[in-house]
Amino acid sequence: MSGRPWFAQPITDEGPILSSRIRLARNLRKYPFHQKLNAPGAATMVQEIAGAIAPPDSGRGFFHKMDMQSLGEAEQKTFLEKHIVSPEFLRGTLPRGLLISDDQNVSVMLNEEDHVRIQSVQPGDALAEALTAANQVDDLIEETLEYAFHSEYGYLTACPTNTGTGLRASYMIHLPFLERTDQFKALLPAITKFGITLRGIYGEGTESMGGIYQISNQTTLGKTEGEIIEALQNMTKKVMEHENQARDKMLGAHRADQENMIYRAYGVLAYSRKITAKEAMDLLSEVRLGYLYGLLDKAKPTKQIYQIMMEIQPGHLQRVAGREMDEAERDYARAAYLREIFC
Amino acid sequence: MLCQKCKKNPATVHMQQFIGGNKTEMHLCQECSAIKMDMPISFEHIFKGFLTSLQSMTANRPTQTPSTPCGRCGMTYEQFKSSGKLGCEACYPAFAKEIEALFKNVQGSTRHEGKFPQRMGVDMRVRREADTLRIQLKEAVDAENYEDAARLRDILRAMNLPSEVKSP
Repeated sequence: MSGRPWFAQPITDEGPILSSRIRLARNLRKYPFHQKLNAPGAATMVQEIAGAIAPPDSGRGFFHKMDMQSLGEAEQKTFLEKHIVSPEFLRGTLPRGLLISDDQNVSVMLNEEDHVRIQSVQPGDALAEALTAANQVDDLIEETLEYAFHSEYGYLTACPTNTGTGLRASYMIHLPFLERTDQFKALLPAITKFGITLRGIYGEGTESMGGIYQISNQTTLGKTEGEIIEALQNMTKKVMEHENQARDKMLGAHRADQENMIYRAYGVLAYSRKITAKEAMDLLSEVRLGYLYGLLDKAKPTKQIYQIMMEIQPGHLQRVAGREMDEAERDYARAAYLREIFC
Repeated sequence: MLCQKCKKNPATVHMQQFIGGNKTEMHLCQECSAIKMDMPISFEHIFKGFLTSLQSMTANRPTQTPSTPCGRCGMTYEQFKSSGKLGCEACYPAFAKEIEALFKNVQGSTRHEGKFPQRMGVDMRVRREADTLRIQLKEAVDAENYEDAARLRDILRAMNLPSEVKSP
């Protein structure tokens, strides 16, 4: 491990795949699942699992326990924008726990929908490495605590859509060319037939910002972890073939148009005074392409494009400002932040 | 049949939706169905849809719904259907029939093939392997393929299973 968060590593900007993510859902045998758990039970459980991962006197400083209750709203939102926690987790009313590794690449949500949600992210195409890191935490918990496990069904989860491996493997992938094509919409239901789903990362529903998508497995039962990952890799390869075809077409016949779009995007990012998250994300997507395919003759910022995308989200902006801001204020703050990077 | 939406192309995609026991049907062409489905169908959607269709099926046959709540956490099947979430590990055996039907439809399988907790792993893995071999052995005997049957029997013997594992 390089000791840096995945989004701060250059490899994130070196291809269409930004990151690889593994999520494992687990529950402890002796507690009822989330829905039937009461506050004292939740508090004890959170303490027990946190103790198993990072015992206080073990000197295992690898994981930091975050006290969710003491975090401000903006700070909580930054975790959401980094995809370290889920919206459900922030909405929860029962005692919860969050453990984050030094480099922020492995995190554990305690008492989300399941007692344990281990998440492991690696920059670029590295699902196997991400799985190994997640398994290490999984094994660590299992050393001292007993999971709810059924010989036929596997790991038991609150929702039967996660039963079995409890594994959700996903790639964060940049598909700026494919999303402009007509075939893109037809692709979504086709992918679903193979137990794989593709969705926009920021924004609601399918609406994507910045051409950033998440492709992940839907089924968790009946296949080994390796088979699930392999199926996802194969489907991702197919999607990337489509993306590359669309790219070649665009850069072949419409190269000048594409260059124009990239330079205009750079100009707006460097000089605007007020900009929405949606517009900035889409422009950053263009600029990312510019660097990726050598179409933009400007020094690359030291920060990775995806990191910039994350840091222009509302929670990050408000945390930096140290105060709540309304939408218009955020749009000004976002433009100021972007000017500093690109101007 | 023509597509109900564009009324131009032949309808090749047929969709049924069950809402509160009412069935609606849509017949669309490939193109319009892609637009209709442009919201990526999340697994939760399919899953909830399946629960709802189970509900409408059982609405006509109320005796089909398990009436006994989970003995450990008190979760009723009705509660599970409305929330989609189970209450504890004992809910799985309590609603086994319904959950297995769900698994078949939504997951496409009822049998875990992945990781085992290390503390129970070895024993369970051996048991699983033996189960599979026994099925193959039975199939071989049924097919009067005695050569294979003998080979499988020998493998099973060589596994040297402890007595409590041997009994199916």
